[in-house]
Amino acid sequence: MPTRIDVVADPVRDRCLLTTDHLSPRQLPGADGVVRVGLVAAGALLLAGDDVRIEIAVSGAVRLEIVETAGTVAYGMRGGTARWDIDIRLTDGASLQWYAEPFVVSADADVTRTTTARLATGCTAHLRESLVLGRHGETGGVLHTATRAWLGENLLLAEDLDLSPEFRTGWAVLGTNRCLDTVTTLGFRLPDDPQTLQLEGPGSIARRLVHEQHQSTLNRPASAS
Amino acid sequence: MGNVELVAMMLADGRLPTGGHTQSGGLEPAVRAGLGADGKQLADVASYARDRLRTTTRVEAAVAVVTRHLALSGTNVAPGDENVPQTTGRLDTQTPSSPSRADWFGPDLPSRGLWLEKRGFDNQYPRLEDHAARRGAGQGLGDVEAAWAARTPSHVVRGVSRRQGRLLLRLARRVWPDVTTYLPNDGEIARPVVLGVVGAVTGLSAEQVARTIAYDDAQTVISASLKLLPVDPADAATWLAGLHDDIEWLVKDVAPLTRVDDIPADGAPLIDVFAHNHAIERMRLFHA
Repeated sequence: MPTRIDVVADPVRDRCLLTTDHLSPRQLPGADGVVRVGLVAAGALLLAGDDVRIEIAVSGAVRLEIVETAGTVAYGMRGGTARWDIDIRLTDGASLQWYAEPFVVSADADVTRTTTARLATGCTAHLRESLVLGRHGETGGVLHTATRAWLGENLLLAEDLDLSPEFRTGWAVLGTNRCLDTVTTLGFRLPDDPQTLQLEGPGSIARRLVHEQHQSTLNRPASAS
Repeated sequence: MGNVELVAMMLADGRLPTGGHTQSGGLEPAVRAGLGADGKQLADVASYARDRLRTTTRVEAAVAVVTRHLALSGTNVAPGDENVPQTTGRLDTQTPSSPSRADWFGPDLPSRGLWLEKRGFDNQYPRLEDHAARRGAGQGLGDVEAAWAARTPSHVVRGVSRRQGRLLLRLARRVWPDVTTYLPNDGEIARPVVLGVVGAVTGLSAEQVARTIAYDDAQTVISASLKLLPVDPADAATWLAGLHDDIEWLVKDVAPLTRVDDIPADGAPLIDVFAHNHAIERMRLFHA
């Protein structure tokens, strides 16, 4: 059973249906037109054999803000593996902001992490993914990521990263950096900046490759996207 | 039709006038960031080329292979009147067409053409999707380029490939005029798409197309190292020979692909970072 956040805009009160699994979503106070949901681990995460699936569906003129209280650590898995799959569906003008806390892949962990986003035309998403390979002083384990985003019928972004130790350390992927901090916007662009990648369609990627996560200059947006 | 082996050799030859000498495959900004610093660990050049073969070059080769397949299967691409090769010397005056991009952006957003114009990116020249739209082609080469674009998140990297594609196209329409059956006379089209079409009209196999892309990329990086670092040319050639297994792995991996959706999407974040550093660098030896 997936962890699920279902939000439907409503003129009286936006409806919000939350389903707990590996993670427990809790509604927080939010301004008009904004549904804020805190995402808290419901047990020890992330361990060998864990299959975490987070489904987010937002419909109508409402903005969902997901807040995490703590980062996630994928612990050593002794030959096992774990998955972390995020599925986002936005329809009818919905928007999503999710500034995720760091996702730390410890030594000997083996994690596949996918993000799939399907946005109807007119919807927007503002996502941060902060991947850290190894806790302080250790060489992180294996991480494979796959990102796919559609806007309407069009594929907006497809990116697979092989962040296993033997591939990531070269001059093409991460180099000696331990942290890959990424802010991705879908449905709208970030302002131009020499280091910001502008997608072919309306969307952007701002990325920082740093040794320590806190060195990243990708800060939380001050206000609405 | 001539010997296809010779066509493949021509395409892989750095002396072909398509501006290959202006490219370092991202090596120049990598060197600026410290690759081979102080003349040490020069063999990192070969590792860098190998990382590209596993990631971005694998995607490019797959795009070229699928382009070739779609052109040969010919279901949605057909010659159009506007494709009669121009004989006048100047092509730059060709006016960009502006089909509606409402499908992509939705009715509420400005057209991408407007976007890019305002942002000063590019789009001075017609794109493949415009060409496809004019012909009413559905699933066709425009879809391959869209798939490539979604897998190439950096506008700088896309711009480099499209400029290279334009140079190859302008040469190809003289040397192999049949390419105009599938492509406009001029335009900024992703280089692997142009190369895939050249492969289709000259009879190259999928393997030859993939091998051309892979070899060209590796050789671009390795030969640029001779200008950027104190590399012994014999060492450079040895590195290139040492990449043959990686090139053949790539060829076997992507040659069977026929569907746009099956094109791999391997990314390489540091290549993008370096490309963006290089784009604003004032003193540079190579365009990219």
